Amino acid sequence: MDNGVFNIILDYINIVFFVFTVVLFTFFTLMGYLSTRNSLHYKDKNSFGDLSKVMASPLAPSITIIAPAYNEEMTIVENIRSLLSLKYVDYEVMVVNDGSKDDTMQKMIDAYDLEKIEQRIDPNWKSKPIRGIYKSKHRSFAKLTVIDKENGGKSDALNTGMYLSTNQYVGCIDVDCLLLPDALLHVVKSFYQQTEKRVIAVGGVIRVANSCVINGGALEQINLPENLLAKFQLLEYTRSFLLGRMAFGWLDSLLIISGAFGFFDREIALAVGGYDTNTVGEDMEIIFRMRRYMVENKLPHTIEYIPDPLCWTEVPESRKILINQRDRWSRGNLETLYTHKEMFFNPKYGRLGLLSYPYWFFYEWLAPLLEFFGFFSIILFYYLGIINLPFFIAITSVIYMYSIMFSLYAILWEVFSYNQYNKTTDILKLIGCALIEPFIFHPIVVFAAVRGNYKKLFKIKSGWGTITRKGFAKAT
Amino acid sequence: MKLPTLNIYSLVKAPLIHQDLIWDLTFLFGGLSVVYFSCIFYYKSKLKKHNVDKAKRKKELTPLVSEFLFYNEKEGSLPEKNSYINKKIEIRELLKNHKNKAVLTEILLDLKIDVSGETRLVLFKLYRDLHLDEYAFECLHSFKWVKVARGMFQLTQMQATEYYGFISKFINDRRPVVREQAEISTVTLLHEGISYFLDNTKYKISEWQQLKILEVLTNLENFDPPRFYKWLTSKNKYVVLFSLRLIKHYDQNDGEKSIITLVKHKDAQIKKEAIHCIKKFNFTNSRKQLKAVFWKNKVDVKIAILDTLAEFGFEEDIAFLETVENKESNFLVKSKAISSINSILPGTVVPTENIEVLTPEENSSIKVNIKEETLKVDLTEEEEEIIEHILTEREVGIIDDNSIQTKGSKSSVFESLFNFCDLETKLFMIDQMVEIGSKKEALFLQTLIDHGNKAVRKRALQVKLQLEKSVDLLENGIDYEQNETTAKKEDVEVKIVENVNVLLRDNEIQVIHNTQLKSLEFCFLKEEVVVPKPFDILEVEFHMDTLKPFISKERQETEGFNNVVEANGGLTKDERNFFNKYLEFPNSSKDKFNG
Repeated sequence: MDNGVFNIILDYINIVFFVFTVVLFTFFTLMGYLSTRNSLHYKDKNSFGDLSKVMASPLAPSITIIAPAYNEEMTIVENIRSLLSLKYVDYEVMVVNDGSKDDTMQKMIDAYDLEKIEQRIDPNWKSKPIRGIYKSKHRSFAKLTVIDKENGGKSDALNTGMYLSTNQYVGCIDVDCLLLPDALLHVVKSFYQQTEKRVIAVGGVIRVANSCVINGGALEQINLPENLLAKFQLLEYTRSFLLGRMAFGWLDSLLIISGAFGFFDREIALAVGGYDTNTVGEDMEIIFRMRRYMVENKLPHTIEYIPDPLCWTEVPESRKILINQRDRWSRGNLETLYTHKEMFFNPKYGRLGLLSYPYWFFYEWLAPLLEFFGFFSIILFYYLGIINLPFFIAITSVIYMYSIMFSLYAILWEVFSYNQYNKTTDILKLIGCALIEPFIFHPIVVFAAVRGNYKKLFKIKSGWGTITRKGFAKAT
Repeated sequence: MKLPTLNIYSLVKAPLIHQDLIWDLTFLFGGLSVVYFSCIFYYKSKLKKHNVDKAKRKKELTPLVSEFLFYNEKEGSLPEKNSYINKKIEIRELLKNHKNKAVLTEILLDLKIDVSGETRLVLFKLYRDLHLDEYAFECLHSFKWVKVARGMFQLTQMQATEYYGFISKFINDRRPVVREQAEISTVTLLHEGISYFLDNTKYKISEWQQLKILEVLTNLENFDPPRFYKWLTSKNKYVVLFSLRLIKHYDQNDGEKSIITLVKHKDAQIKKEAIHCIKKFNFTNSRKQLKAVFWKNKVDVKIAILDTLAEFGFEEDIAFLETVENKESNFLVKSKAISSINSILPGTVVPTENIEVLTPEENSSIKVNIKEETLKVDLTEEEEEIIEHILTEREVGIIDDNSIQTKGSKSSVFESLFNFCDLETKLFMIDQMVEIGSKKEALFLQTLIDHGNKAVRKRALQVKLQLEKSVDLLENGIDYEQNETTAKKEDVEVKIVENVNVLLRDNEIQVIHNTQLKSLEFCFLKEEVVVPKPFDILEVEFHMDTLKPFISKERQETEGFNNVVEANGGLTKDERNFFNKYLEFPNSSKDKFNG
């Protein structure tokens, strides 16, 4: 009898895994379909007309790009130069020096001939003290504002920028990101084209810039990353941004926009108190809060998503840095989901509560944990001799085939929509990555997620960690 | 009757998962993977082929197009005409292929950007000659929205005005992309298109669409915009909003009443836009209305109202602004109210926070230190003469102290300059305050004691104390005899010079306002701020009225001020007549010296 009960339990475990897998497949297939529809619509809609004509329109809104900088002395001057050369008239670049310990501030002062200006600051504004606000003496750098403040983390720096900006829209980006010249035009279009709903935020695709050739702040040549980890990440980003977020965008259920390229309606962002300084997943958390604010105040709203490759960034090439990054992401994910737990299957929040939140809960937070514990259970069951080997092999095969299929679909869509990697060998390499990813890259990501959850659960202190950038390759 | 036995074991037993089904799914996904793999390379090669084919067709068609564009029918010889006709036949044959039609349209659209004037007109004609307009027009009947929109786009780009009637019907189409393209086309094709659009549109006009339409209007040649205030009564609030923006853009200030009324509109955006128009056109009549609606609004509208009041508000608006400053809880609105007050009456609100109050002991200890430093002022003989003269007058009791009043701006002239100059100039300006400063400068210096720069802080403190000393001497009267006994002679001289400087400056400001001379502020702003010169007593513009306080009231009344001035070292009658006749009458002693 005992053995019988144990077998029943095992059978139910199999059922749970099977159902979980089937739902996952259904969800991802649906996502593929929706993203295809959305991408086709987007492509057709933007197939004629010229964006750049409106860049100097008197009706074009003013935008502030906030770029927090912490110990960026090596690249700061060049990165600011790149931000200052965007194709748009009415914008401001606000670099927030978040108490850098190196020479970041001095480098900026010297390169852009900055001088301190006087500005009244709300004494009740909660952020780390501002040491000074600087503007350039040169007209050519009139768009640049540098804020020097005490260290308070990325969120605190972004909040300071958001508060000091006077423009209608603020863009929060990573200072080491490369924005394409017409990025702001796309952003403005996204903010401005809606009439039924208020666009509270705009996000976009993040592209992998490793091994690409950059010259004078402009992307000159797109190459496939040479590093294997970077290649895996490229494939992952393609799947996530081109299929996942595009589908959620179509459903108007986006609950995250990347911290590397996110634009906000400043009024709403300030109304919810800006970024949360107590979480490492601030980019996701602010979207949750803004969405909730709008729903609770019964204000029709939406978040737009731009699939055009406008923002390029360097991804980690070392395993250690990658694990740190993913560890932080999973902690942020958990913190945000916990903070907004009222949304879980709450019909009050519509699709956000019934679809997006559960997706994030089950497939972004829970899935890696299930995978991790499932893996050890299988080893244990095998050792105990109670594993249902045929079932295990069958379910593993179907999951593996599905992951390959989904990755290939993402590559196909990349070729169809933007075709950024012209060489056939590049595509073959990406397909190769799709084949081996479940054995090499995926375990690393799962491990990082488990580590993040473990740290969060046992309150092990861990901050942002550092990402060492190699810097973009310069054109020769 | 036999009851069914409850088999608990069969109930709790997990349903069986058919492994065959899992394997079927595995093969299905595997098969789909193979399909996708093939699709990737198939599509890639198709894309490549398409691009090559397009380039080939372009290569074939582009020379023909160029020939048509630059062919002159009048000047062409007979063989050339024959060749032209043959090529026309050839291209018509080619255009039977739909791919060629699409490529040719693309070539013409690209060329349109590069050519202008006559050639552009020839291009438009060629487009019609080749019946490409008909091809585009056919698209308007398509069920696919992208085809319809693209057809309209092509006809618009090629200025096919004959299709205006067909296209304008789409401005209320339910498909957004078609509707938006129809709006752009309607406005582009005919100048009256904007009126038609604003009259007939039922849908919302997105901000992006407004931006694009304005861009189209701006690029229309010889466009005479209609009076947009006519649409301020539209039932479509987006039309009202857009009209307000167009009014502002085209500087049409003839709808004052309507615009002011829109300040009371329920929609915050319209309200804000109306306020912007009011500000731009200086509709001062709106002040009451603006103040009346102020409290009901959101922060951004409130700031817009305060900004407008700052632009053209009067002294009577100060009370309202002060109420805002006191009652408003939002920091930004509060700050804006203060800045508006200061815009209307500069220097009304001065910084009060973080201003250090020095104890009498601190003050005296610094005074002692300063006493040790001897101020050195180099004076020319002429300057000494003037000072001597003024002091003599003062000693004989001509000076009426009550008449020495600071009028004009309530804040220091240095204040407006200070934030716009570099550190060196800032320090220089502070130094100058010792010489020409008064109470206002002392107040200003007080604010500088908290300045972010250490050098500025230090210098401001020193100069403030020196200045306070000299202002005290002036206000309390100077007992020269006592001074002579207690201080060195040089010190006294320096103090006298300082006091005289203050005296001169005060009077000079007073006169500038009376006679509308170029004010000292402007002298500094336009000329001095760039290359600051050291203070020169003779550089100061002061009127002959400067002497007014030094002349007794009785004498002025009995002899007349001008006569007294002329008799007391002013101009001679001849000089005065000469200047009156040929030149401007010199109002300042500097002018006189120059003359």
